[in-house]
Amino acid sequence: MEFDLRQRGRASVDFAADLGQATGKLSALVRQSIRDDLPELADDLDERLAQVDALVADSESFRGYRQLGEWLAEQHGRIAIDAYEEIEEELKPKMVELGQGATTLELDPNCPVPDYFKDVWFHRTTGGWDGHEEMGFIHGEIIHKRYVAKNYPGDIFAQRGKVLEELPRTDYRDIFEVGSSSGHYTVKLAERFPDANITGCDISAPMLRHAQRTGNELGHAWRLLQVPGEATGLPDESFDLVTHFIILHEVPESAARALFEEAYRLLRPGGHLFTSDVRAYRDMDRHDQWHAEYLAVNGGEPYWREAASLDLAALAEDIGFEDARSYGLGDFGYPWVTFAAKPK
Amino acid sequence: MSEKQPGVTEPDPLFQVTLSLAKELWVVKDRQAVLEEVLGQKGIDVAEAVDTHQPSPELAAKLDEERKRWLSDLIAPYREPLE
Repeated sequence: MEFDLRQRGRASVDFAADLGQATGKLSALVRQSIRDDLPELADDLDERLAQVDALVADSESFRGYRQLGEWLAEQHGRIAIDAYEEIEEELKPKMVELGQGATTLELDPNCPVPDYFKDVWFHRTTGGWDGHEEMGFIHGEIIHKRYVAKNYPGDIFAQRGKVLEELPRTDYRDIFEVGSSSGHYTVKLAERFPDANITGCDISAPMLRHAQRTGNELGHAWRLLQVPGEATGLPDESFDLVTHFIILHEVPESAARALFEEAYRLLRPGGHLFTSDVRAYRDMDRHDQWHAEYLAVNGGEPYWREAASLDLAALAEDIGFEDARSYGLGDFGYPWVTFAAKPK
Repeated sequence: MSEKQPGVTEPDPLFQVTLSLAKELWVVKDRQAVLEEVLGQKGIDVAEAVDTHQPSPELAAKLDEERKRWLSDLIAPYREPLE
C-alpha cells in the first residue's frame, strides 16, 4: 500500500533504521575482535556463548553493542505501532476497500493456536504477532519495508522471488503456502507462477487481513485461510507445490516435522515441497554460529537453534519424500533452501 | 505470552534512556528542518518570529501533555520493573 507516515512516525522509524545500520557496523568490529582474541571456540553452543561472554565482560564496545541491540529489539515494534496509529484514521477507508476483491479470507475464531505461537513475541515485536489489531500492516508495511529492509544485506523482497528460480517447474497448478504472514512471499509466488491457484494459511488473523489487502491491491485471487500449517483440514493430494519462506525457524523441530508430514499429505504424487529458511549451522564456522545464536537469543527467536541444526533434507526423506536436497544461496548461504519431491 | 527468552541482554537503563532521548531529539531536528522548508516555500522567514513567539494557550496545553508523556516514556526503564 502507498502511504505516508506523519513526521513523528517517519522520523522515528528513520532513526531506528539508521541506528540499526550503525549497530551493524559496530557488530562487524566486535565480531572481528572476538575472532582475533578468541580464535578457538568451544564445540558446545551454550559453552560457546559463555566463553564469549567471559571474553567481552569488560569490553565497553561489546556493552554498547548489546545495549544498542537491546534498544532496537525493544523499541522497533513500539515505534512502528505509534507510527501506524498516527495515520490509522486516514488509512481505514483504503484498508476497508482492499478487504474486498478476488482474494478471499476465511477466518476461524476457533483456530487452534500452538504453544510455539502463543508463547513467543516473534522478533520481540511488541505484543507478539497478534499484539495489535493491525499488526499485519504494522509489520508488513512499516517494520518490514522501512526498517528491516534497510538493515539486512541484499534486497529482502527480491530474495523471496529469487529462491523460486530454484524450482524445476514453472507450471504448478495449485500452490499452498504455509505462513503467508502479510503476503510478501505470496506476491512473489503469484509473480513467478501467474497461472497457479494460490492458497495461503497463517495462524494470525491480523497478518492474514493484511495479506488479503495486498492480494486485492495487486489484483490477485488468493484463498487465505486461518489454519495451522500442520493441520490444515484441506483435502489429500490437492496441491502440486507446498512452500514456505522463513517459517521453520519460528517453530520447534516437532512442528517442523508435522509441517512436512502435512505437506506430504497435501501433495499430489510427484508434487514438490520447497522451503527457504535460516542458514544451517553445518554450513557456518563456529564464530558465525555464535553470532547467529547471540542474535537469536536477543532477537526473540527461541527455535532458531533447532532449525539451524536440523537436516531438513534428511527429515523430508524420513517422511517419505525423495530427491531431497538443502543448500545455501548467495554469498551468505541465505536463504537456505530445501527441495523435496513426493514419489510419483 | 513471554517477551524474552533466557540469556537475553539485560538492559542498562541509562543507556536505554540515552537512546530514547536521542530518538526524540532527532524527531525534533527533523521537524524543525521540515517546518523551516515549508514556511520558506511560502515566503515566510521564521527564524526571528520563532525566537520571539509565545505559545498560544492551546499549543501550551498540547506541549504540556506531550512533555508529560515523553518524560513518562523516558523513565520507563526505571519505572517498569517496579510496576
